[in-house]
Amino acid sequence: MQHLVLLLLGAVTLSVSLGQDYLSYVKGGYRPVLVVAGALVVLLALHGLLRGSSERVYHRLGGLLYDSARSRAPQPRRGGRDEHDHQHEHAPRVAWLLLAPVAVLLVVAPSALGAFTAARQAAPAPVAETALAQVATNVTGLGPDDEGRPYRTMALMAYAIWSRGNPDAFEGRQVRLEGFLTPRAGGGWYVSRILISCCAADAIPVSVVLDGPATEDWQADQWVEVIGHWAPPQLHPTGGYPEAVITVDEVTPTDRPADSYED
Amino acid sequence: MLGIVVALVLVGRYVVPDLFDGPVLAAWSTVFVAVCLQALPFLVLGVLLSGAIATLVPASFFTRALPSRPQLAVPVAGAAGVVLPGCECASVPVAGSLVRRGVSPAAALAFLLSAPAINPIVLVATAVAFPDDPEMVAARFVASLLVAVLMGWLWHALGRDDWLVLRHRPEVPTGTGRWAALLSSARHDLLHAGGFLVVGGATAATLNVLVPRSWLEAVADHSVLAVLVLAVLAVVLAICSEADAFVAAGLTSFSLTARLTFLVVGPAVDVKLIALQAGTFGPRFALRFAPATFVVAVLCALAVGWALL
Repeated sequence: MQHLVLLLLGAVTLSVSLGQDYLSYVKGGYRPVLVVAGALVVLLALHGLLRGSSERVYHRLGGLLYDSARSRAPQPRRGGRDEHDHQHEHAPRVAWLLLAPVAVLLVVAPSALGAFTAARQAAPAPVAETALAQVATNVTGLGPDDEGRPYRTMALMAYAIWSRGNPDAFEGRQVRLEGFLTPRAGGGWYVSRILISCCAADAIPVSVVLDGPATEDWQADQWVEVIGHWAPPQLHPTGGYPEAVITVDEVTPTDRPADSYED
Repeated sequence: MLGIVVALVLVGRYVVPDLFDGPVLAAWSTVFVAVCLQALPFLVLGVLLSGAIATLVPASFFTRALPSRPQLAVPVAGAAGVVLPGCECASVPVAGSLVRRGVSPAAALAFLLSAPAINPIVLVATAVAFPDDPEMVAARFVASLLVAVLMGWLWHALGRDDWLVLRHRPEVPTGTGRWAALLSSARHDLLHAGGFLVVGGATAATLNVLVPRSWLEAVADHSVLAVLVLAVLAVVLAICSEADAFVAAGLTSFSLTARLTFLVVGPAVDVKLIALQAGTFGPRFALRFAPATFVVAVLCALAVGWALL
């Protein structure tokens, strides 16, 4: 039976990693590793199933031969069936637990981490001093606007770094950020993204304060596109550390992208 | 185990009253699935390697490759951890297989502790995560290797063989091909270790979602408490050793030594690893080995942090 558990585990791993769903749990580059692992688990399961059935056939044959042999010449009660039974693979009972992640995937199909995780962040976004130094001395600035648009699209982490390291670069520029809405402690909203370096267990949220009026229909986890201007950092209401801010010109609801984690 | 989970849920319900509201459970499910999916390839690698050790590599190879005196075999096996490019999920079945093949438990345990911590992938990830502090890579390497070797020697001096119960592995019928034997052994290990991995993954996801990050910031300025808190955090979060450096880099309010402790403790003791060890070597082993490793890892990280950082 446990071979079927493995078969299910391998099949679900394959289907998750061949589609888009795996992007909610692990980093995009992890896909080939998952596909190979899923295929190997399926292989192990099929090998077990085949071996199990061929063993059963063998045992039945062996049992028949043994019984017919015994009927002719009785032998001491040794060997025979007992010996064969020991050769079965007794799969451990703990293996049934492998059905738990399979069940959660099939029943809940949890989506990528969002506002709940972002709101739990209690420290400034981790920005390396070397990254700050790099943008401070970068003469090329933010780079050109998006083609045919009056703004430049930036990753939230990049915005947070430039906002601290080289605010002058935003002079006269419009910026576009993409992410989900997270309520801010003490009122107001952030646009947030989650960074992962391996899987969702190592999530690091990055949030930028939205400076501007919110509409009634804003909800946590709603994906939005924010177009706006740089504004000076504000202090976190309880933590007291500076947070990057964008003055909002326009907020448009969008759909959650397949790969919602920021690189 | 079930009792622990129930207790955690009850405590969690008290700490976070809206525990069973949507977002908490949704985040838990995501992290739980993520830990299991992320660990699966490493586990598959580990059980296949372990199967290969059990069936393809002759036992005489290890007696020739390792010094016969366990005191010397421990550092050699610890240094050999450099070659297994996996995380902790891969090294547990491999270490179990080594003991079955006649390698002294002390040496196998040194390998078990060093492999997930000092392999090239982990060291490169650490260098990428700490661009401002390149000495972190050297500190991690030295401290983790030190933990592995000290624990190996400690086991040799104090460990008793009856604490270590290798579970019964079914005999492969005679006449089975070596490849079929390898697959059977790998499948059995996968079913067994996989079940324990799920227990560890569920525990890690629960603590990941329940422990408020603001608790961490409250102790960051306290030098001793900060080290202990990050050591405990490494145990409860059970982040893969190839990604833990990025999380440590994010704990910017903590001292470098505290973050080094997080990196040294994590690959050696965490809830996922304790579950896997209990499954492979027996609960009596895990109950003694995990706390001892925790203490040795914290002390080594403090010593190396003081000397190098």
